[in-house]
Amino acid sequence: MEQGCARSVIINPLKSCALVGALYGLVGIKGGLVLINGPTGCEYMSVGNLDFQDCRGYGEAKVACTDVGEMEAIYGGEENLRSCLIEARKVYQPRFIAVVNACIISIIGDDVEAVINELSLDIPVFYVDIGGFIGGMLDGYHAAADVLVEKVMKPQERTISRSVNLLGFMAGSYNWTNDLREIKQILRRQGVRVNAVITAGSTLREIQQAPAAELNVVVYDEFGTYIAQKMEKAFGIPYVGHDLYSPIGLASTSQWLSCITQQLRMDGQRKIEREEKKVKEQVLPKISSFGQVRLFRGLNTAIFADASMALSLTRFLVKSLGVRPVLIGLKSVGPNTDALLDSLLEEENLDPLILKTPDILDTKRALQEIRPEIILGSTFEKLIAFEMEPPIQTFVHISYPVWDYTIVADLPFLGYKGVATLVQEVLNARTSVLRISAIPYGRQWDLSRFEK
Amino acid sequence: MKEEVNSVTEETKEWYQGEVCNRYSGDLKGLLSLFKESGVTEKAGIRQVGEREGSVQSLGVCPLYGAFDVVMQIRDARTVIHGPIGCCHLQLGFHIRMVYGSSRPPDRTFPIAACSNMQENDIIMGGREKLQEAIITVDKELKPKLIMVLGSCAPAIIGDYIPDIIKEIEKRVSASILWLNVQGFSGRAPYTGFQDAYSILIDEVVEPPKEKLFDRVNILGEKSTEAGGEVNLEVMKRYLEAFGIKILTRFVRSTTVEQIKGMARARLNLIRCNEPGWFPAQRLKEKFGMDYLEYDFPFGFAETDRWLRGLGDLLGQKRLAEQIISEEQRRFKERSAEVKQRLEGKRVMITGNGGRATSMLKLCTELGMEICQLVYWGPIHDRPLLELKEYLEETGNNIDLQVSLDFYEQEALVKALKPNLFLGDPAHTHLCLDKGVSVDNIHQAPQVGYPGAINLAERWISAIERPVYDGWLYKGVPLHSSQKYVNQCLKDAAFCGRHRR
Repeated sequence: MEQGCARSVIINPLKSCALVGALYGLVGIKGGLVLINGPTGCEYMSVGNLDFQDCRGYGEAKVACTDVGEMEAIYGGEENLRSCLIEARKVYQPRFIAVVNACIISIIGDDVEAVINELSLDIPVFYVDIGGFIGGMLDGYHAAADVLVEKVMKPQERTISRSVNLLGFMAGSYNWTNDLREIKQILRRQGVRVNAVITAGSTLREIQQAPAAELNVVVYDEFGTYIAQKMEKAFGIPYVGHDLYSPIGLASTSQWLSCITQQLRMDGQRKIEREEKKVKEQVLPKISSFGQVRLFRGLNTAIFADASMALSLTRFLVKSLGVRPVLIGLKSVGPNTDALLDSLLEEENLDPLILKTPDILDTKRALQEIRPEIILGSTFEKLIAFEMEPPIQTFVHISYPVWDYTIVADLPFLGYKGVATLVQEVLNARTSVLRISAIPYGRQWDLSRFEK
Repeated sequence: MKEEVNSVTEETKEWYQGEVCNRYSGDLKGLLSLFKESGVTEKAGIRQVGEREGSVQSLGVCPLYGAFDVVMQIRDARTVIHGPIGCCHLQLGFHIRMVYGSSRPPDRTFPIAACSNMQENDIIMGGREKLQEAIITVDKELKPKLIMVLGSCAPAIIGDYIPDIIKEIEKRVSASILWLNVQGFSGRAPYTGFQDAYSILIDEVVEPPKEKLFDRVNILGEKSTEAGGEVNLEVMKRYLEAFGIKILTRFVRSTTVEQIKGMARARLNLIRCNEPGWFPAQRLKEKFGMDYLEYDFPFGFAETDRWLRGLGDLLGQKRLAEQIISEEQRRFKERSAEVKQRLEGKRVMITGNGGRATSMLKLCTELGMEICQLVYWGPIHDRPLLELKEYLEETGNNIDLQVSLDFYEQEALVKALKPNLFLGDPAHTHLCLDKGVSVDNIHQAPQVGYPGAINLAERWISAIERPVYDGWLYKGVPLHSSQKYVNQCLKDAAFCGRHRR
């Protein structure tokens, strides 16, 4: 469970509650409406967080709220929910409605299911029985996935050969739309068809037909593995990817891809080599010109992200750019995180400080103690690094939450295209600060290391 | 004591006091005629609007946000939210985006708040230990002078009694501890949260004055989300300086616990914004007999004159006030004539909450603009009703207005009316953009005083004369609700009044 279940105090929680996890899990499904059955603050705040980071385009799911107040807290909110469902159907004309409970409705114990059944609207209505207190975002996301697997997906008569479902995409993750597009493209070029993306980026119909895929592919371990296990149990679909690095950087992307093609009994090796060559041709001159690569060599780096992203990214930065990871913050951890972490540290002979589900105080202390030269993370880490004395200003946004940077262009972090994006971002974060600050161009060496 | 105050209000009750209009569509005379004692009897133009089953669109934060926002602005106070992590994370997110990101005063540091991380077990067993540990940790790690415990929905429903929980550990903590129950289900506006937080600060922190500082005033009710708030204050400081007055405490923007303690020494309280500021002004008057100026910081020329005259009256310097007014009028004469000429006849649709929308109505009328619709987001009561009546008497302008219009009814209105300019909230931007209508955000903090009015007018001229959105439109831009719903709204009997084009 994420965000330190046993802890009694969290200072600036870096992630939100189960309600938000369930909301983000459902809001990526096209054409629908997520109805938050709770007070208006729960909706206003979480939608604000979502839209600031990942503004939903036209035609994507909407979010509405039943505005539970004191009357509902005392007399129950079932009547209120009933009228709100009718109104939501009328105003938004959505393809489906997903009801998500906030703390208060979970505690007072409204029979939401009965309201939905009794009303029997002409569109699918389903409901996630969860309150914010159930756990962290990951728990909420899994609860939403439970509903999709158990209530939405239907057993399919035939299996579409060479087709996969992508598991673990969540609306509200930083840059997810671009990442998804890139992953779909590289799979298509391999001749693999993407049947459904769970839980973000598909329509409800596509999710209904997800069991027709030949293989489930986990993209992010902490989000996707749970769904893969559930689907294997319910529909017998095998899965891969859960014990691999997420497809970030050259080596991890190629390994991930060849694992899929092997599983589908396809020969993808030549195509993979072609893809790799294309990226290498694009990137190599940029990092070799005027010794740009020396800017990365041994660069003390801190990385804060969900485990699968953080580990895979660390691997790429170490293997392909030669940075020295000194601090890795794992904002949420999955079932295979420990195994991957161990193998990464051993494989690359690394010894960074590892923080698991840290809060802001843990993060601040670690940053002050270690003082990395570059940070890859979220708005939280950026702002505390900027306020340190002296500030650390070399920063790249890579993970939730990002509230101070808007994505407009279609640059992914994942896949082969993502290699170029990451090199560009890290390189420019480094050089732009060097050029405006008094820090000398090129790394200084630290004499104190020899005095110990 | 309380009864006495109540009986005084009973005797001096005006026609508008305690009155509320929940939902209305029609013209101004029609609205006023609904209140018998307003003196307006003409029943023209009341239209029936479609009944709704239940509202699913909220534009509101919760009371927890109100209280959180107040405490976050006090530099040496820290918040502990008693509830699940989401309550803390989401509040921080909003605060970082809206306050730290866009409108923070220069001395503000990165917002830090703690949370007791209530989980399923604590819902069953109670969150006593977790809250106690949270308070002790915050005291030890962050060393604040004041810790404010804010209870969210979950502890309120299960009945965690916060004062008892605090009492057990009070002696182990060096900061003073206050607490509030500000559960989100108690309202859809930050208003009650503001009220509760202000009133506990006034009751528990502000000390009775030992001396009076006759050249000092306090500023109440500055919104944390006010982008450009420091510039607005600069404008008002110049007016105050002209009266020979300085600011003692800003309650609570950028302030410290020490400053709050001594604030009752000031001569007067001035209100920045009515919504958060009216209540503490009354409370401070009840408790310490402090006078306050009832108008909030003024938008537009006429309101500025009224504000300066009001302040002059309170300070016993009427003649000085007139001098300042004529000096301002002289300084801005040419520029105001120019903007009026360029805005004259432009069709504007104004939306907002009570006080703000009414102020904008007056300014737009002053600038000679045609008000094609005035929309209140929620119910209106008390003061805005009075101000609307005064507006009608002064201008004779029987405008069309709507009360409690939801987001998508507004979308339908924009589509039907196609005004030259739409004034509203940032959330409305995409609603207008897609219809090729220029928009300006007046929600958080319009600029104040004469310079502010000129600045607003110039912004509007730019928005109208250079509608950049037009260049982005394409055929078939989707609606935010559904076409069917908008059509239904538009069919509704004379929904858009006589201004429909």
